[in-house]
Amino acid sequence: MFGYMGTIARVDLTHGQVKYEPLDEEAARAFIGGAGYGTKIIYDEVPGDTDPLSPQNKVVFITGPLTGTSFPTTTRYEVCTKSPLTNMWLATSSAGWWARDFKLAGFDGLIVEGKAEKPVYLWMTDGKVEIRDASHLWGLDSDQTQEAIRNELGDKDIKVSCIGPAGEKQVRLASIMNDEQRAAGRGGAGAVMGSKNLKAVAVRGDRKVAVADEAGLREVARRVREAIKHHPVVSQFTPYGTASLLEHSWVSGDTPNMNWAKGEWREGCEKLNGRTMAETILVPHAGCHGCFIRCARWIKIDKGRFAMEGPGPEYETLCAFGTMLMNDNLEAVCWANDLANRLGVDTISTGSAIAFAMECYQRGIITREEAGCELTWGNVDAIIEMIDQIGNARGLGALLGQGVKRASAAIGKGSEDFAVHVKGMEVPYHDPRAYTSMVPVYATGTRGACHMHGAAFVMEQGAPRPDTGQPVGEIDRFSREGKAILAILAQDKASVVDSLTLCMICSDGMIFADIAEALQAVTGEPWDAARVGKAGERITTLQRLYDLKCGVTAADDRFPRRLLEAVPDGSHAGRVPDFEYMIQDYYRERGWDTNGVPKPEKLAELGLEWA
Amino acid sequence: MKVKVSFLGLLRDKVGAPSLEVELPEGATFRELLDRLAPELEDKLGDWAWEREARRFAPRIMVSRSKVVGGYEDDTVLGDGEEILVFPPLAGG
Repeated sequence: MFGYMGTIARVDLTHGQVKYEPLDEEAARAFIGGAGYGTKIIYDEVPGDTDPLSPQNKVVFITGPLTGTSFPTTTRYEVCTKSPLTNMWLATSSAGWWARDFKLAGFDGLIVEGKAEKPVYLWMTDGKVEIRDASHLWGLDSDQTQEAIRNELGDKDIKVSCIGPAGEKQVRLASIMNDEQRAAGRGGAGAVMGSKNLKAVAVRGDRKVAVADEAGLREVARRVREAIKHHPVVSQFTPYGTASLLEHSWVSGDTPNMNWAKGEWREGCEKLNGRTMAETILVPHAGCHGCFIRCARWIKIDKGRFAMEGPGPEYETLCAFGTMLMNDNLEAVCWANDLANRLGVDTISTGSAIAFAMECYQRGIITREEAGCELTWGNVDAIIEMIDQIGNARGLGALLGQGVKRASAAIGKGSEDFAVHVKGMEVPYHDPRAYTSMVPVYATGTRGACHMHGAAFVMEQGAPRPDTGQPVGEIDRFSREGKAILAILAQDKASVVDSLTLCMICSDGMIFADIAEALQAVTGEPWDAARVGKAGERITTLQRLYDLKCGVTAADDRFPRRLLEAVPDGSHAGRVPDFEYMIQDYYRERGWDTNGVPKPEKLAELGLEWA
Repeated sequence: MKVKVSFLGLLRDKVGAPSLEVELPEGATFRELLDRLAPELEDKLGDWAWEREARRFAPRIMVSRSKVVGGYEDDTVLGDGEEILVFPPLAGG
């Protein structure tokens, strides 16, 4: 089948066995690859009541049909598993270089099951998987691990996806890291690897992906490049990274501050934004493989306590260790970012956990003795100390590393009211009180609150609908009307993008018709915009069905109290979304019943009767 | 009176300055401000951000009055020292 390598490797760590299974072509046609195909595997093979940190859970590394082709920004992989943070479906993705070598080593996917007796890593090249001892790597940080494996295997071009100390200690916020601190960050997939004694997956590949229509693929790529070049926002990601958003996101209230309690912080955003970074500490460096946008940052701080050179923070991390904590020290955010990435913890959830702890401290719920430091807003020493505690599962950090849902349940004293999560996933930093299409996106997100699985707010600001290519027209960003359909379109587009596997930022220049053209050129299959939209809906729905298998109900499609309270300042001051209306509107538009369960006729329409 | 038009994001690069200070008569309207800026902005912003014939910012561009996004009409009366923020839409990140 064009666009695929045709092989899924299955590794049973309990028995030390490797099998090579053929790609399920029917599943590839229905679910494309990446997060879609991975969802099918998890749905079929991991029962809903599985303990995510038990040997019965599985972890799937998987690419899509575009990966390894000439199409830009497709060097991405998805990790699918049952999340130890949310106890339901998880796909988390990363870019860099790893995915290309993984696929060109001869694999579309890798399913890891069971648990090794002692630490191991996998070495995948030329169509073979080898299980190797990793005892000597246990305890190394994510940068050190990659270097050690390259040295051991004697090839500096080997790419490594691995966990740091946080994953080893099964911290529920643990990420999976690869290349230059690229992260499959969200949902604790790193803890699942740690629970299996799996330290890393090393890859090297030089095979070719067979493409049905190379000329056709290059033509779509040319058009997408052109669209991005003129895109009013994404074109800024080249000089200033996603951090460019901070230059103006404070005006509309998109960027949260002080654990979502403060609506606007212009001074902080001016010190932290991508322009400031470019004017002070940014140095030239390569982007991800095959990327023409190159949003990734590389920074060099020459002197002072935060002197360092390496990958720099993107928008979400600048919020996580900056605005959310009232810290306007850009160099300290860079240091915190590096520390979190080396330890291997998700910067978004980690920043939110620290923000939660700082508010507890402010309210006298947590003491200095319990925290081990002065957990005051903007205190960079405390921020760095708490990242270290969380990544090493020590002190208060051992509790915070379980996420704010579990931490607030343990702490009590009203702290649940400002523990900002949906289904256990800390909310990313686009405020739904400023753009209310993000209310249904976050409330129903199949991996919990997630902007990567539905950036609906871009359509509220004039971006075209992915199905028609037309803008939605005038829309009130605070209103409740018409937001459900935007959420659905954004979620389903994200499901397709994560299945291709394509960078979300590049996908800003694409609508369903472009995606169909690219898919058809790669696979030779007859794709059109309608089929793309339907595939996206099918994938999102199967993810929802898996969540329901895990025990999720409509009672879990809720918002934290903090996000249903108005902020006192900023352009969205005093605004509270009409949550109840929007959630029911969303169910209705989805073809789900009032309890959030897809109706049988919807499942039939999507070819999911079997689920 | 003086008003300040601050350009954020890509618009700042296009205009080549963080802001423009404009001297206007007391009680001047937003329309008068746009008319004053039009020759400079139509050159610098290009069609995607500036509607040449209508002499106004393109719909995708956001204009903020006292940080209430989209708070300007042609007949909005400006005040001395007012800052007008002009910025592009957001994207995912």
